[in-house]
Amino acid sequence: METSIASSILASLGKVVLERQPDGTFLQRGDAPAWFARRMQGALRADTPIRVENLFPFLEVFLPEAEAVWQGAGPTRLDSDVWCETAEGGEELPLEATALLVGPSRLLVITRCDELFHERRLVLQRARELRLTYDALAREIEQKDILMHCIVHDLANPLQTMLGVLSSLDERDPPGEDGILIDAALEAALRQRSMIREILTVFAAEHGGLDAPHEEAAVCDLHAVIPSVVAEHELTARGRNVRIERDEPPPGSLVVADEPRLVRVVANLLDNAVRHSPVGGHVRVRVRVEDTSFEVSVADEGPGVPASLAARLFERFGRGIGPEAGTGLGLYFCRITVERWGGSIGYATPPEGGARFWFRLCKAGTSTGARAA
Amino acid sequence: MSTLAKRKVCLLGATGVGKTSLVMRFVRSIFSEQYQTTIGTRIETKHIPYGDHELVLVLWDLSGEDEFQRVRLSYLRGAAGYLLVADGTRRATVETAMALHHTAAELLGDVPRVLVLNKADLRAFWELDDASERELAACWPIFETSAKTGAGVEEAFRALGHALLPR
Repeated sequence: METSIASSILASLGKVVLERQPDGTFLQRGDAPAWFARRMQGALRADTPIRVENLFPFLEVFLPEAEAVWQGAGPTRLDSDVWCETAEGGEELPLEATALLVGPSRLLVITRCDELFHERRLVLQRARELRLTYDALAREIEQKDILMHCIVHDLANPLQTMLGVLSSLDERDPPGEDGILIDAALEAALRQRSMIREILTVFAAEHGGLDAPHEEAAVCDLHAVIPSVVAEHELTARGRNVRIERDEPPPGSLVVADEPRLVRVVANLLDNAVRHSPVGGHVRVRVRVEDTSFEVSVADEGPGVPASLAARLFERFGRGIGPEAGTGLGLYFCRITVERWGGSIGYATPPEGGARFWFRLCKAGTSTGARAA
Repeated sequence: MSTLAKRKVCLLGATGVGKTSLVMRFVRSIFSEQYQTTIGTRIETKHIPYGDHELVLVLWDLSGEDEFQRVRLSYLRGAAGYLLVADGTRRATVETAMALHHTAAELLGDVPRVLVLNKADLRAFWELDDASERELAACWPIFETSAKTGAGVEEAFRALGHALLPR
């Protein structure tokens, strides 16, 4: 009686129990669930030997693995993955097999597992849909970037002509208001060229320029870079009556970075600082030696960064507003460049006001100086 | 029919390339726009007549290879051939197909196989250019298919089936 109830319970749970025979066939034990009876098309009798691998081709790969259980050579239970057959009428039949050794009985339990199957599919499907959407968006962004690059690149060509013409006019030193207007036009054109270069540099950094293998081992000396960049900005700073003060890093202040891009990073920060400084203000470039890194900071006495903008300062197009705002790519370029060298970059609001940007680069030749993957 | 042979054929490829859709189109002549991911393995059978012969293809539609699920290599055991499926609109899926081919070839040896470039109905959006396709075609029996329209599907399966006929 108890055996009969247990058998009925298993069948109602969608499980069929089969016992392996010495010749490799199986005999059904207990009641058959409805799905299994349909699969057998009513031809099943309790003493009918079944070739389960013919009935369920998936078991061709599971049975050899199950032998280890039935021979008592491994664990006493082995579960298969879920597989799906198609039942009569096109209905999905998700199944799972378990090999068991119970006393001398070598059992194969096949379970119809609709609920488990649908739950698993729901989770996996969602994950895969998100991945496909992400990939599609990434491809779209890349295509748009390439288009933007082409447009910006084409914009640079007529600008070169305009710059040439304006420079020629400027060299003639025209008198009065004409001279002032030409100077203003030349300055605007130079600024525009600088913005175009910034966009093209970011594009190059994002699309493989920084992935070149030789850059992993690039090293440069802050002792050479900092004074050189500061010197380049002194003329502009003086024009705005801004004074740049700088530390003198000791010779051999070697960091993991390549010089042309490090120059651009420092120049970006310095350019921003000078541009946002009040007339008569100071910009301070500091270099601090730490255990495994150098920290370079650029501080100004300007209005600082509005709190609403601070969180996305280093994001693409995370620019400010007003006439001093740039392309919104300068700080983004700084971040992706510094991070690819294994460094970090940030912004702080000093208590005395102004803005302080810093970046930290690994010391070259130290165990932690290796470039981050 | 004078002969009847049964052959196991595996479908291999990245996620979302349309393996299940190809099988559904070939076996049941149906197509659904709704993407439904495959869990583990899905098995379908199709009888194909070739003159005096009839071939029973047991199609093992294996879950796509990605970071969420690996293709279990033991499922390839006993396969007489395989279809590698890639999505022409996603170039990376060709690379995944090639990686799966190398794995399958190590396990199964030099068995018949075909490369299927699916989603031919989206030809205008393909990332795979003609030059790359010509390179692939130099090494592979290659079929452009659309599970959506049915174009090329029967031809791809029949070509593989033909290579699997008893000699």
